[in-house]
Amino acid sequence: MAAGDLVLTGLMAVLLVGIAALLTRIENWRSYTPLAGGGTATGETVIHREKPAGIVRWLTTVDHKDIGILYGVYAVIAFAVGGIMAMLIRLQLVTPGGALLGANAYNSILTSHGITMLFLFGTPIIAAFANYFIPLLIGADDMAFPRINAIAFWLLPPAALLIWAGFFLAPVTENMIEPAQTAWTMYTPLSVEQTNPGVDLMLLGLHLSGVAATMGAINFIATIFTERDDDVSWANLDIFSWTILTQSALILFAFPLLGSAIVMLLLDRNLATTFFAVEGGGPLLWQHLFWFFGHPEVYILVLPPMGLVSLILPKFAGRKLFGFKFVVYSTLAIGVLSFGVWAHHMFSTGMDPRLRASFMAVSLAIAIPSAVKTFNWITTMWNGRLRLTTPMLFCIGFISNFIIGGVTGVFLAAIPVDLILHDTYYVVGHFHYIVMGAIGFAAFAGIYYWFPVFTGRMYQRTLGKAHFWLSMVGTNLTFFAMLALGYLGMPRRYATYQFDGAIAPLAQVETYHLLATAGALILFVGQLIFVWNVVQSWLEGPKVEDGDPWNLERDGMLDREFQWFDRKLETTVTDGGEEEEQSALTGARSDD
Amino acid sequence: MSEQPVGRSGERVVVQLYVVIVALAGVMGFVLGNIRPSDLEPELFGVIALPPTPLGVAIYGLVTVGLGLGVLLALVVYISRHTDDDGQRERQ
Repeated sequence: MAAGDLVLTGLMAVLLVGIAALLTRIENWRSYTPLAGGGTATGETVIHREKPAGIVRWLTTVDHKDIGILYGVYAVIAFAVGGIMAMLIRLQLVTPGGALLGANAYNSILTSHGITMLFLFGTPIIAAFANYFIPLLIGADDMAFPRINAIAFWLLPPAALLIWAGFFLAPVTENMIEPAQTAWTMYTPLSVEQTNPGVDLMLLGLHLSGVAATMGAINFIATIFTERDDDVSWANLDIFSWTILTQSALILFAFPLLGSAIVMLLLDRNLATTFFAVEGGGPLLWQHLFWFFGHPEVYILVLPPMGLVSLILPKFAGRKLFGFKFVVYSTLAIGVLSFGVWAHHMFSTGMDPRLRASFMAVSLAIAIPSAVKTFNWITTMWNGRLRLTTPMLFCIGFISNFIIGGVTGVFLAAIPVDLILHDTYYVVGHFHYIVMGAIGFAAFAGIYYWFPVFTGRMYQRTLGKAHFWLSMVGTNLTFFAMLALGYLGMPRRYATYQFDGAIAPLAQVETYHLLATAGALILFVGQLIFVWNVVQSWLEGPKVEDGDPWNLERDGMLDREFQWFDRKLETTVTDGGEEEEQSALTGARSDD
Repeated sequence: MSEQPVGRSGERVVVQLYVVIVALAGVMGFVLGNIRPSDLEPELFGVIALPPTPLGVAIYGLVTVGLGLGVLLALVVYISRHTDDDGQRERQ
C-alpha cells in the first residue's frame, strides 16, 4: 500500500514538473517579440516563430488553419478505427456461423462502426475542409469566433472516448461496463432496456459531438455572413461555401433535436421517465425524433462533399461549372426537402398509410435536385478537356457511385419496394454507396486537391491513383454484393446467418458475403496506401514552390485559396523565414 | 513539366462512365436472374415478356437502365450544344 502511495506521489511530481515546463514554454511564447527583419532569435533551445513551438501550438491554437488540420487528423484516425471495425464485421460474416466474434462483440463493433464513421469521421472531415478553406475562400482573416472554433474541436476527443468507452472499460470492470450494442439508430425499447452503463456513456459522447457540431455550425454561418471580403458577394460566393452554409443551417435545426431526444432517452434509462415507453410516448416516438434528425444528417454529410466535387471537378475539366446557379438552388432545395422525408425510414412500422404516401412523394421529389446536380457535373465534363489527376478521378468516382447509390435509393423510396427490402443488406449496400462511394470519395478528392496548400508538398501521384482504383473496385465489389444479398433476403445487423432453402440457398448467400469481404479487403489495402502516401509525402514529398500547382491560372480558375498560398510562398521567400531544402523540386506542378 | 497538357475528351469519359454503369445494371440483372425470386417476371416496358433467366433479366437491366440514363445523356448532349456557352467557348 505504502509502495503504491509512493508511486502515486512520484507520478504527481512528474506531472507537476511537466505542467511547469509547459507553462514556461507558453510564457516564452507570450513574451516573444517579432523581430523586424523577419529573423529569429538565436541561441535558445525553443524555436520561436509566430506560433509557439511543439505540442503547445496545437493545444492552444485558435488559428482556423491549425484547427482544420486538427479536425483532419482526428477524422483520419476515426476513419482508421471505423475501418478496422468494418473489416472485423466483414471477416466475421465470411462463414455463416461467424468466423471471428461472439454475438455481443459483433453488436458492439457494428454499433461503434456506424457512430464512428458518421459522427467522428464524416462530420469532422467536412469541418476540416471548412475550417481551413472557408475563411481563405471568402477572404476572411479567420473564423468569426476563433475561440469557440477551438472549443468546438476540443469537445470531440472526449466525445470519441465516451463513445468508445465500453471497449476500454469492459476489461477493467469485468464486463460491468460494455460497449453499447444498440446499433447507431438506438431504437427503443432495446436502447432503454439494455442496462449496460456503456450505453449511457455512448449517449453522452454522442451528445457532446452534437454540441460540437452545433457550435461549429453557428460559427460558419456567422463567418460566411459577416466576415466576407468586400469583393465577395452572394453572387460570386463559391459553391463550397454555399454548401457549408446550407449544411450549417441543417445542423442548427437537426442536432439540437438529437440532443433533446438523447436526453429523453437518458432520462428513460436512468430516472424512470416514460417518454418512449408504451404507457408514455411509445417506442415510435423515438423513431420519429431520431429520423427527424437522422435524415437531414444524411444531407449534412453529403451536401459539403457535393460542394467539393462542384468546386474541384471544373478545375480539371478546364471550364466553369455548368449551371452554377442551379447547383446552388438545388443545394437549398435539398436542404429544405431533407426535413420532409424522415418517415421513409419507418414505412414498415405500421404507420398511417396516408402519411406514408406523403413521405414517399417528398422522398421521390428530393431525387430531383440531386439529379440536377449530377446533370450539371456531367454536362461540365461533356464539354470539357479532362485532366485525370487523382482528385479528378475521385470526383468522377463520386459521380459514378452517387448515381448507383441514388438510383437504388429511389427504389427504396417507393413503399412497395421498401416493404420487401426493408432491413435487408440492400439498404446497407445503398447507403454505403453514398457514405463511402460518394462522401468518402469527395473527402479524398479534397485531401489530394488541397494537399499542396496544407502541407506545402506534393503527394506521390502513382500511389494516389492506386488508392483511387483500389477504392473504386473495393467499393463497388463490396456494396454491389450487398445489394445482391438484400435481394436474397439477408437481414442486416446479424452476427450469424442460417437460411431456409426455400428463401435462398445458403451457399449463394455465403458466396456474396465472401465477395463483399474480398471487396472490403481491397478497400482496406487502398486505405493503407492512402495513409502511407499522406504521411510520407507530408514529411518527405517534393516541396511545392509554385502557388499554382494544378496549372489553374491557364484556365482563369485560380481560386482565392491558391492565391493566398502563392502569397504565402512569396512572403516566406522574402522573409527567409523557412529553410529551403536543396533537394526541393522546382515547381512541383502536377498535370497527371 | 513545362508542356501544357491537352487533357482527355470529356465526351469520351462521360460515355465510358455511361457504359460502365449500364453494364453494372446488366450484371445486377444477371445476379437477380441467378437468385430468381419466386415471382420474377421481367417485362420490357410492361409489354415484352422476357424469360426469368440470368440472360433475360440481364437484358432487362441493360435496356431499362440504358434507356433511362440514355435519355438523360441525350439531354446532356442537347443542353451542351444549345445552352452551354462556357463549354462551347472551351471547345473552340
